[in-house]
Amino acid sequence: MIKLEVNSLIGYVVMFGFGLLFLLISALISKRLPIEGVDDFLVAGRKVPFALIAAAVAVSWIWTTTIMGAAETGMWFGISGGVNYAWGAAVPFFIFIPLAMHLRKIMPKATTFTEFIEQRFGKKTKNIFFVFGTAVVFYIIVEQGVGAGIAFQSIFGIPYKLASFLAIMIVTLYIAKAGIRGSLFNDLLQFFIIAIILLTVTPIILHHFGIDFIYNGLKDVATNPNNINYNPQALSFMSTAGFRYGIAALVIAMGQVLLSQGYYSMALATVSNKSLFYAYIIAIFLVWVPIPIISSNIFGNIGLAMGLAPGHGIEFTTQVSPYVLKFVLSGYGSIIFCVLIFMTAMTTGGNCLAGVQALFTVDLYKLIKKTNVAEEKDKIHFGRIATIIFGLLAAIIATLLDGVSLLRIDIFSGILFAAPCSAFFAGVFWRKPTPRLAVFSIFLGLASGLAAWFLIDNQDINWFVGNVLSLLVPVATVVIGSLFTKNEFDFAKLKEYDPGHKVNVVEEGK
Amino acid sequence: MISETGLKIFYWGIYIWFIIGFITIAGPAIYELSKMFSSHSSQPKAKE
Repeated sequence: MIKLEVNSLIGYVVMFGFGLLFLLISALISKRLPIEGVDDFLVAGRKVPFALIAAAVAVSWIWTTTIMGAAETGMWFGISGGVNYAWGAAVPFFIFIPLAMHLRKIMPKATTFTEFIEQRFGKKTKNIFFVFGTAVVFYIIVEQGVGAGIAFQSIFGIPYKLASFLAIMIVTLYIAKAGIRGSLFNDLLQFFIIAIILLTVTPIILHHFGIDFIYNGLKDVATNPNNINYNPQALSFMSTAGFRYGIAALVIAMGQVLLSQGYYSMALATVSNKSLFYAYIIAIFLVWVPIPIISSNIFGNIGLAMGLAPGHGIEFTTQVSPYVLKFVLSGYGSIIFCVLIFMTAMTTGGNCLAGVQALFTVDLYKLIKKTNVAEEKDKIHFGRIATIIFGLLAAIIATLLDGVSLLRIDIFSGILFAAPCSAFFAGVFWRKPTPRLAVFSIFLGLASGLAAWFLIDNQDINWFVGNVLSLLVPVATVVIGSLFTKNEFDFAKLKEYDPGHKVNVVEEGK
Repeated sequence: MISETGLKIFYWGIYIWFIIGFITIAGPAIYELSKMFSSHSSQPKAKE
């Protein structure tokens, strides 16, 4: 078994060095481009060009699991693993893009998706979506902290609690300092670091092993029943188990995209709908989609070809990516892996925190202070404090989750967060759905998903059925229920919405 | 079952796909960044 650990001092240098760099960038951005109001703080004045948004969207969707989880799918499902991971997790963006573009058009002064929900479905439904929106971000940030904690502990021997806590607090501080601009500029730097690492190590690893070795290794997995990883579909793109995983990835990702304010904040920060469209399409289709496939190929498939399996070289399949990097590049491979994981955790966490900061500054402020009329600097101050408290809570929870299976939490989260998506989507495009129907569809979806999870004895399918029901039951409920209502929501009034702070709206085409 | 040549095309094809995506964003991003900072540094200070 290969020993992954390298000198812990290097780990501290990586964490504090990059942490300091990100904080410095935030400070520099705040100085060079001072925040002039709530709109500037939360959506960068709505004039960010395409490329900055595209880089930010791409890295925000690169989670620690996009590298480590996709590598595992390459071991579980062979060559189809990464492909199924990629299409499943990319599809929700093809729902999100038209949704965000339409939202910009019908409610140009909105900053958060919950502002729309309040106008469309009322305050009570807004509060339900606020809870979901905050919970999904909390869960994502905790998961990134756990991923960083595991990586720094297993490679540098840094205590898990310290590593996970620091990772979350670094990102919290730079987002609180510079708002979404701090996130966008740091994202760009992190985009270059992540891309350069992948562009460099991929040919090195492929050259080191050679296609001949990888192919013969995978062929043995596919044809030799005595192979420890025997899987007849290892060299086929038509793996049924892999396809089922793709569907589950789609459902799990749906809530994580549609309920995460960070993606709306970036969409609203874009200078125009045209830029929004190209930024998201290029970020997801051209940049993001190849990444899990590459991870699956160069880590998971090679792990299979090398005959790795739990108890055979690695303790569990999550270790396959650091193992392969260390095998090829020795200690440098471990350091590169840790930098890669740290960057993915920072970018995803940063985007989510920038989003939740918008929810706090706009919605929570209104809820707690019972007013929408205030000095903009008071709102910004409130949003910053709330975000720091939120980050601190997430950091503390992450330190308590040492040894908990992230995969199981991830699958369970799909059931929780898929349920509200249908009501939201239908509410944006259709006059018919009523507030009562929206709430009913959410709870019915949740109930059916949880019932499947807890009542189906077969552990191999209960998670799958639970996730699919949580997404599809609300779809059926909203569609059928709306056919029996006389509701005709007037979308025109959304154009007149006043958010209570100055908004820089540029009319499309001008 | 895919052939060895097919596997080679798949692996390197995905890699080239990623290079294209990277260039599509990196090029305009560097241009925008330099434009943003050069125009900002050439502006007189609005307020102290």
